Amino acid sequence: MGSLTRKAAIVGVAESDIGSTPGKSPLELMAQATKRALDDAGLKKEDIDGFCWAAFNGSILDVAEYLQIMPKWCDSTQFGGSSFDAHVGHAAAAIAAGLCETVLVVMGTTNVADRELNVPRVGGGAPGGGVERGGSAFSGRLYGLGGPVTNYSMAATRHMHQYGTTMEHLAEIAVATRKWAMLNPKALMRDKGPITVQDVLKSPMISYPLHMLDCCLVTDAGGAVIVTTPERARNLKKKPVWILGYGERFTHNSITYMPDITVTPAVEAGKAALKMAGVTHKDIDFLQTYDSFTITTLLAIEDLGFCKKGEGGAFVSNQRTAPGGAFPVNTSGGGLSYTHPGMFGIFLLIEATRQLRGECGERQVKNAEIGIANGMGGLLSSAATVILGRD
Amino acid sequence: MQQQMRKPAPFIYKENKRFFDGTLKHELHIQRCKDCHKFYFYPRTACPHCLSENTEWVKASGKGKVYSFTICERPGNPAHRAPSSARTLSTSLSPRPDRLTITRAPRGSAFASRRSQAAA
Repeated sequence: MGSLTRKAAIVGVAESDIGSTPGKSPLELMAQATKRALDDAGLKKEDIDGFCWAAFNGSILDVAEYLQIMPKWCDSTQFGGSSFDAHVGHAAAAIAAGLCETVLVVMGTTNVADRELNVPRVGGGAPGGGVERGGSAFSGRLYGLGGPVTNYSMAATRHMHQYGTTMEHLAEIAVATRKWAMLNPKALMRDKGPITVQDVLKSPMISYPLHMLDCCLVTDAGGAVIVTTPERARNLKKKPVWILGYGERFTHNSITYMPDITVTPAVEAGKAALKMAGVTHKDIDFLQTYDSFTITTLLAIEDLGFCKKGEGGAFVSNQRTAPGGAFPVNTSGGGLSYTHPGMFGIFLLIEATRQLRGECGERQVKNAEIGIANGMGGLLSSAATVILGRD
Repeated sequence: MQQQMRKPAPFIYKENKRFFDGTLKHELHIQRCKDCHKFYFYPRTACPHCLSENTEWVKASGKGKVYSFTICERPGNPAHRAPSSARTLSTSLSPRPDRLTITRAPRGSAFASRRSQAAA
């Protein structure tokens, strides 16, 4: 199998304004994030000749036109919030093949601002939704179930039944992630202060067994990541963050068709990424992994092989993933406590890059050399694992 | 006066009609491939295992074992009332066990969909 190791590097990262951005459109947030990422890299918009984007609706043409980018190569792979992690893997392949030199990966959504504007929701059996064919006609959402949480909760129930995982185990993840958020000036829940396992368990039940504090935030946010060639990367403002390994996999759309509801496609994506990078778990200094819900983190830790299947509960106990713990996870504060605009994958790359550059201040993981950004999209449907390293 | 919200309805067309006709009789109908002999659900013209169109409908027993469940406190559509529950069942279908997901809407209309893989 071909390798992408050190064939491309991340050289610019940024988020837009995050939280509630009244009156803003996703396009405005994307323009803002793009400008900031270019400034971070010391590049100009004219340098971009590859373009990646994904959203639940819309077209890459809209976004590229708005930004006035006319790329030689593009990718709008859309398999959920992990799409941007996949874009970076695909961009590295395109750069290695000589199809383009400098790729912008960008996203932006305005969940909060849209609510205020009463923008209609589409699809998924929601009012105004279109015709549902194929498996979508059998989506539980048409028949009374809620959004993604309902699906992830069934994975949690089964995991609890099969492996003895408890709600307390899941709560440990929320508590640890909040501790990280309190060290990140940009994290939206920083000012809310710490939470305890009991706080999580006492928060309203959203979909058994997941409570409100087991769920990610709902925010506006945009993000941008710039990937370029090794030659260009060595001559920019900041030190390159190398793509060492990459893997992806998806298995289903509806969770009904997930082969085993407790095993995610991160198993294969992670294995491929580690193999390509030629590193082992001992080499990994931190994990940035998609935390739409606490169960998402727990499953990823198991499926990436940091512990055996079913042992995730014990693994995350005693705040192992918190600041000062043995295994730093989601050091930005994650989707649970930093930001979550419906698709979180790009923010994993942004935080991993900042950690490897040593830019993280109070939350800096000491001597971080190699880290993982692991996107999980859809309803545990897709995984895209990027292993990053510094010089 | 409170306006009655319309519940979303499935789009019924040629490929899936047999299933929905079955639900009206409280029967669970799924498909089996006559070439590779595997069961499958949701309804498809071609078998998802081997893409043969040589398939048949069979009536399932409807009996099963709970695989997982949730209780949804906030339905995705305001026309539905919370809470509703979803249970994923594994059910015994001759000649091999299969798995199904049952979603139960608040007023008790049962709904089922077949998992993609037959349990070994």
